[in-house]
Amino acid sequence: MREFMERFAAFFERSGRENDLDAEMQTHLGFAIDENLAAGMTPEEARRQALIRFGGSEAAKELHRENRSLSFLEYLAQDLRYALRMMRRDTAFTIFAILIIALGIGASTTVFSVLRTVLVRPLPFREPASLVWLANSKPDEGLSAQTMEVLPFLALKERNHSFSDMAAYFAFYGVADSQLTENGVSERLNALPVSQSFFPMLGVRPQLGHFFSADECKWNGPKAALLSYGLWQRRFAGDPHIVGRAITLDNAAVTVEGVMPQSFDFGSVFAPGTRMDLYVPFPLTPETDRWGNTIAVVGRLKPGVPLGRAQAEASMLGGQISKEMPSKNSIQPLLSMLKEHVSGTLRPALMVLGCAVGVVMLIVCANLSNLLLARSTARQKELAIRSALGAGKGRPGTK
Amino acid sequence: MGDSKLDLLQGTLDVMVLQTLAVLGPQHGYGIARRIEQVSGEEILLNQGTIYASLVRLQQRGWISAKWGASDNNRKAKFYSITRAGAKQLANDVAYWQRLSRVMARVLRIEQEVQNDA
Repeated sequence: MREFMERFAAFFERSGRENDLDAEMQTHLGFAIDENLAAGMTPEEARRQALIRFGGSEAAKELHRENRSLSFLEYLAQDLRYALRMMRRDTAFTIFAILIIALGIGASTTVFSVLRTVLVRPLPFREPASLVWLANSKPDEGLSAQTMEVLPFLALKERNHSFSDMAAYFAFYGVADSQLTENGVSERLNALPVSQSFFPMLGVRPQLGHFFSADECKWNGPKAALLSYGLWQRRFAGDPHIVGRAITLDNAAVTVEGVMPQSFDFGSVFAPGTRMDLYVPFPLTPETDRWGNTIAVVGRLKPGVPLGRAQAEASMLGGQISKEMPSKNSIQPLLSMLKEHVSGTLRPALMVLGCAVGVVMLIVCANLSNLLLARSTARQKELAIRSALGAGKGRPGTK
Repeated sequence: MGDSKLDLLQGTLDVMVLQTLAVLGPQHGYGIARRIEQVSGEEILLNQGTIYASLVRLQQRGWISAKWGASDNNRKAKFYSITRAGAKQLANDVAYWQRLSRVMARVLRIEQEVQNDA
């Protein structure tokens, strides 16, 4: 241990120790020459004999260094300096190498961060494991087959015993359908209509202000909106007094009720690739019922209720409700865990992408090693000289 | 490149250096090298430079200490002296070498007898 510490210290005061060693060796030769002179040699002969007896002074120094310091550290420092020199000398090669590695790493990080978000990370909601996606009949078909009408939904919500709550959002939100006018500048934004209990059920709290009031969720109620964090920062410069202010949305005054936290990203869960700017109330009333199959439904299971039981009950209620409301589209709820619903369709695609990127990374490595091999043949002569000059067996290999 | 041989030499050189310092007291590198050459009856031809590797090794293990000083003929030289830990180590090493050489001698003698018998 003590030896290691000494060596470690020696590594950092290299030049001091090196001078010390030089001086010591000079003294040594001085003594030797003196003695040889005293024995009657000519000054030249005395010096020659002294040097012969001393042996190769460079080799001796090298041996000294090896014993003095942590040779692997010294070699590492040497190799680093050497690598930098070579990089400067062969700029084209360096740029190319850095470029391929950067590309490879960049591609893999991107894909793996997506993989992580979608497949690995839990949903950013309270107790995500009890959240259920309630599709209507066939989940593989278009949006109309997955959504429900309002009145059957309300009946289902009312009668079931499996869910502590159910909420909905308007699945046919128009992209860039809302026009925000602020200081004379108009901008098209994505606004998502959600039922009153949507956010509370997910367990998301607004960063500022509060959720929609019951009044605002009535048909033709007072107009209100929640801003996404991004929009709040971008258009309103993070104004802390935004709550209660009126903004102009589609040429009407709308009250800002609150701001959603930065961590809430509707798109990342329900509609990958979409950016939501605003959230507006969606009234669950006979008026919206007339629009047909429009709402996407999410529910939260009561603690301890398994998905199978909830499914059985929902199917039963679905049949019952369909019979009672013959004028409505029939509902056949099909339940799946929200997490599965989110990643389900993407999983195979992402897996393929992940593998593809892995292969790309391998190709990058193969390319690079090819380049290095090509260079090593070009450097055979140099390496031969090195080993002739007494480089240890392992040393040229590190270059 | 005969690494094993070098190792043995290093090991022996360390003991010789310690022994020299124990007997003669503080010495500089040249003094130690000459002394070893003389005592060995000039039988081992020492590359005097290698002594410095041995010295730094011993120093780092705390078995010898070094100090710059002036020699008899007024040259600035680094003087080495053995430490208490070094003395203890030397005693161990001496015991080890004596045992080893005794065993070697015995083994070689047996070999010879077998050869003679055959």
